[in-house]
Amino acid sequence: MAEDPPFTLRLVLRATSEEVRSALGAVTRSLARPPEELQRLELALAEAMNNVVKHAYDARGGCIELAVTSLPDGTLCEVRDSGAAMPGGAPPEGSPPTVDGDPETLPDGGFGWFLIRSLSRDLLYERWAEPPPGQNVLRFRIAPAEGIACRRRQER
Amino acid sequence: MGAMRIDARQSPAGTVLTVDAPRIDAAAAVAFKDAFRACVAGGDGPVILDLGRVEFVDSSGLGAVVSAMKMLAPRRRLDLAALHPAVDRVFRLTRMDSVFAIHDRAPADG
Repeated sequence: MAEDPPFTLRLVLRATSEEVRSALGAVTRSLARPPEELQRLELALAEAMNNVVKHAYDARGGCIELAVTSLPDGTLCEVRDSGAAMPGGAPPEGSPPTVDGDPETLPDGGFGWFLIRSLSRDLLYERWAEPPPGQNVLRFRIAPAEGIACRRRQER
Repeated sequence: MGAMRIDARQSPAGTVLTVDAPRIDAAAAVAFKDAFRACVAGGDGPVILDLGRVEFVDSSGLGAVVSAMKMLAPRRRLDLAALHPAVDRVFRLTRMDSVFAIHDRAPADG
């Protein structure tokens, strides 16, 4: 099978959880990637964009610009918004959730950045001053699933 | 944002609640919690949440399932059943698979 040429899907959406859902549908329908990779891509993008809805815009609304590029070594994602900068100028560490002990004390939130960091590679966050009021630019890559292992299996 | 439908039936293993939606995500988490609360109100015994029709759960959906479990605790248990691979991944990555008993399929009617 020949390698697919690079393909970029660009979307501009209103920052609402409903539009995030529609955008994810467009991404998963448009990209010719293995299902397992698309699942990781969809989850990482859901977390990144819903963070923008909830935190950068604090439910005030705004726009999200999404660019997803399909490449031989995975899928490059870029999420831009004009909301508030990340506190401290960097994305949260996303420490793993504490799940032992009493069900009463189990966390029912705060998994978003842990998931983004677990699912992605080459994560980069930048805050741009231009154009006003400034932009958040988040980039990461979703690696292909066991690419080498798959190829070896086919060669046998 | 619309309501979410959850079908309820009784089995020897407990009340089986089947989520009739393809996604429990940020847009559906509140509707899921409301529907779940209505389904379990006044009931007793264990609850098995059948996720066989759910193809996608994000961190908001995961939080909603944890909230559902807390609604029942400590008197009633919440188990999960029939997780799609993408849903199973979310529970494994966050180690929530150690909190819930997860069954391959929903229990049959008695």
